[in-house]
Amino acid sequence: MSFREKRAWVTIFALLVVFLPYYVFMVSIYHQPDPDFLYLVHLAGIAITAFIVLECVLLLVARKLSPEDAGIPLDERDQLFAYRASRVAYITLIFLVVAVTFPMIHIHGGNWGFGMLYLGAVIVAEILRASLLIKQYRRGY
Amino acid sequence: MPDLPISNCIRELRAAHADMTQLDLAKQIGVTRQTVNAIELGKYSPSLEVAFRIATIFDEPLESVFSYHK
Repeated sequence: MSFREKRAWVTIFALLVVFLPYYVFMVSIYHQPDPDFLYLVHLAGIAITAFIVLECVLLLVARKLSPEDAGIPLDERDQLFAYRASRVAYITLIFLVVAVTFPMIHIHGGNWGFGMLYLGAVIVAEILRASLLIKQYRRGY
Repeated sequence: MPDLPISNCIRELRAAHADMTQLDLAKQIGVTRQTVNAIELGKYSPSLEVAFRIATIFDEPLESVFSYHK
């Protein structure tokens, strides 16, 4: 497995490991009668920090496992894969943002809730981008 | 696998050049070993620039390394 593919796996793993439990926990607090928003902000900060740290640590491990690939800049095939994956992820992100924004106009939901939906849209788009990269590296074209 | 209209004889040329490895060729043309493998297997068509670099490495004209089938 090439370093680029490992890197995509790392992104998916780190996002799921950190943000899946975060969303489950955050939603349970958010739905309480009088949620503590300062606590929610701290929780979000911890989750984002944990994601960055976990991704960095796992990337260092991936770099150790593929020392030959890690230092090589993206070649034309890598760039093509990245372009294809980013294009689909970007369209998905736009769709999800619109899908979240329209209810925002009609439903008077809390700002925090909608903010978390936007963050969720970014996470879904990033998971999709990394998944498409893996698919292309697996099949070779 | 994609039905690409371009085939090549890079594997044979590597064998004829002192069993050059995919990694050696990849380093010389500035791509990854995986990309060389994908080109050899006909899964990926390289850019014109990379195709010329490959032909130059083997000191062959482009059309004897790559062939186009309609």
